[in-house]
Amino acid sequence: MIAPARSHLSALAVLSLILILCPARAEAQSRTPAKANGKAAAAPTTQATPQAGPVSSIAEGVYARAKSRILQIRTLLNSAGRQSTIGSGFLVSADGLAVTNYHVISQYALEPKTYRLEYAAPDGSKGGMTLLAIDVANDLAVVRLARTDGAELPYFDFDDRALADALPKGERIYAMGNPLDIGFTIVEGTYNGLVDKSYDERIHLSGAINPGMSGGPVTNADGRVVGVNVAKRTDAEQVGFLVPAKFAARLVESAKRDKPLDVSKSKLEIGRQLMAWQSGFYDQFNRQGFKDATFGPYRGMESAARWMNCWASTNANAVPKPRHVQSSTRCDSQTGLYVSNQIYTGRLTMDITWYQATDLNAFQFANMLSGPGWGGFGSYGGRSNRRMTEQICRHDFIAGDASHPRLRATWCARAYREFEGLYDVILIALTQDRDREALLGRLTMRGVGWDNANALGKRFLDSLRLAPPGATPAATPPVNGGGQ
Amino acid sequence: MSGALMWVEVLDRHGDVSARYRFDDIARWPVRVGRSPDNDIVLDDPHVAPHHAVISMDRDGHLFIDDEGTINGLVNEATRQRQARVACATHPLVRLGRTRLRVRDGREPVAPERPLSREVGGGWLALGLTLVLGAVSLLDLWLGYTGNTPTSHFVMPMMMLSLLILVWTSGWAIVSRIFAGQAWYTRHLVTALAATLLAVFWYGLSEWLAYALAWPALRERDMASLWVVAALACYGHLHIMAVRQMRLAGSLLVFALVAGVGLQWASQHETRKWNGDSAALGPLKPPVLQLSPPTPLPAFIDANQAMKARLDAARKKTPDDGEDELAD
Repeated sequence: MIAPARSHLSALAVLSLILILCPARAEAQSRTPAKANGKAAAAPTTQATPQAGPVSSIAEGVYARAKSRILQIRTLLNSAGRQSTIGSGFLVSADGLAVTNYHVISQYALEPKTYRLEYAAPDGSKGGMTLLAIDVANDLAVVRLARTDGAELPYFDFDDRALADALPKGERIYAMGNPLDIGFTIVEGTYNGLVDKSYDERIHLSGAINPGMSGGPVTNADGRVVGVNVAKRTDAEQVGFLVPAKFAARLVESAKRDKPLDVSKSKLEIGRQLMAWQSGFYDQFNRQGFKDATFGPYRGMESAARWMNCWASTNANAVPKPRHVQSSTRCDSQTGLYVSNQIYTGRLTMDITWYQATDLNAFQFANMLSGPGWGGFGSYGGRSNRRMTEQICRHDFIAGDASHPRLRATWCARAYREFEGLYDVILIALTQDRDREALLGRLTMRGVGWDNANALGKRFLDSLRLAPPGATPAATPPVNGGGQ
Repeated sequence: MSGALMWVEVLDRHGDVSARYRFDDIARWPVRVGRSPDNDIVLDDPHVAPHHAVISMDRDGHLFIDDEGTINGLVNEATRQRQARVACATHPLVRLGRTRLRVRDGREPVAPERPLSREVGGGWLALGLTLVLGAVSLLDLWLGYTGNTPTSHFVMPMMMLSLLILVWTSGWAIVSRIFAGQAWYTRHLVTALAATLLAVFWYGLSEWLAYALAWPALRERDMASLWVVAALACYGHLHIMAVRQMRLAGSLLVFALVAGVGLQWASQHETRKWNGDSAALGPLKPPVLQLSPPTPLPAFIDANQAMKARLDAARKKTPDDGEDELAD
């Protein structure tokens, strides 16, 4: 599968992340050295290994041992019996449990009657699989290989230092999988710690991972798993992302312990996980607090959350000289939960733009502000489809007081058909106290619970205030020339 | 009957008089009409009999035209009925074969003289409306352009508007000339200009209300305005042409209006259902122009509950589209 892509529009660049998919399989080869929980004793050896020999020979050894434990995981269209998407996976227990990405098996999880799962191993063997557990937030799934022989399979252990978040930056790690369905591959890369400014923990891998490798293991030189291939940036070179091993280990434990997922009801489970994720996210978001941002005579709010990515921009220096000056800050959570090829949710953006007319009269200024096509949610617009209801908007003026300017606000929302209680919400508000100057705030929340949306929306609207006289215009860029 | 005077006019296809005969000598009556050269009025129409009809006056001085027993007979143009005898005082227009005759009593009064100034006034009115429309359109363009706009962006739309009005007016003038005998160019121009102005004001009004009442749907869904203005304009043009069945024409226009608005509404409704509302503030005006009272913030948030109910109801309905692609 050429993985679903999403775009992050920042002030400077269009950043795009794609999810990558890949397989693994079991074949009798090297002996499995340890039980699933691994041995703590492995750690010191592992650290010594990267310096031990020529780089290529280490990769050779890693792959030789991994070969019997990696899989390609395919989603087949039942009616055609052919693959619809491919990804990778790896064995984590002797009785045939394997880990992959949720997005590799999402079609099956959502439409179990239309699709089925199949694995293919490097030795050419194939077989069916059952889905045991999913973790949508961390994009993981645990599957069980359908086998009849009952033989013990070789499998991967997790790296204990990775489980304890104690891997040193710069350590050489090895990503495996089957990119683009062209054959099993091992790629050397560098462990670069957790991604800064990311709400969900992801490891930054400097290495070339490609579509089809999703769900494949990334190991240290010792062959122990430190993470799972999940995504890469398409606007950069060799910037890959891994799900930390600890989440995979946790999901494997719960798959061993709990009742397997009832695939016919997996939407309920996905909905439950999405609700839980947004609840935690908005809780964190509110807890991290907010700070004031002053724009000329106005004040708005910015998130103080460490993982919000904020950019500023202005048109003040544009040529030819614009007839209005605007400056804005745009904050983006850069979170994203892949649910299906049509649903990529869990993102929060908060923009504030200050507009000031230099050469526009009051009517022209108002027309200019009606101009920008804010649109709906990305390429899906506000369209009704099988996954989403159509978008509904309401419009009103909101009363001001001594410290609040009057607002013209538009509140739009649409519901997820398959996940009860989950909505996409857009809030747009424009100050209405001046003729030729205004503050425009925009808040978008994807995959949010109604109460969280209301609470944050209310807070956001309340934050649009008149700056007290004498306030320091911290976020105010100089207005170049221009009249009043 | 002394002083008896009759005119018989032969009309062409457009209703203009092509020949006119005067009869004032009662001794020569009855007046005979037919294709044969021995008639008083000779008609070159193959559908007219050699001796087709006779026009006579009775003792009371009333004029009548009688069929001489022909194949095609006499048709009373007012009723479109074939009649053996037609009383010319009440129904002066008669058709023989394919030729129309108008029999006029020389004693009947004629309409008073129409002053020349009326048409001159029409010209001034057209000029005035043109100036107002031009000014309003330019103002509208000027207020709408908020970037660095080249002059051509003013010229092109104005030219397009002028051309549109010119073509529309000329079309009606030609139709008018063909069916009503006269072009009435100035009157049609005044009608077209007035209708355009009405449309511009209507548009402005609905845009203002869309802002003032925080109700963008008013602007988005106002598809009736253009249709109503177009229907009014058409009625005006038909009225100028003095179409006989104005009531029928009016009903047809209302029907066309309802059909047009209905069809457009249906297609927009489909699109809207498909696309949902657009997440935009809609038309904006200077804040001083707002009308609806502002809502306190808590009440604004509380009102979201109704929206949630609508969305929750919508999500339970199966969408009727099939455009959802399942595979990449």
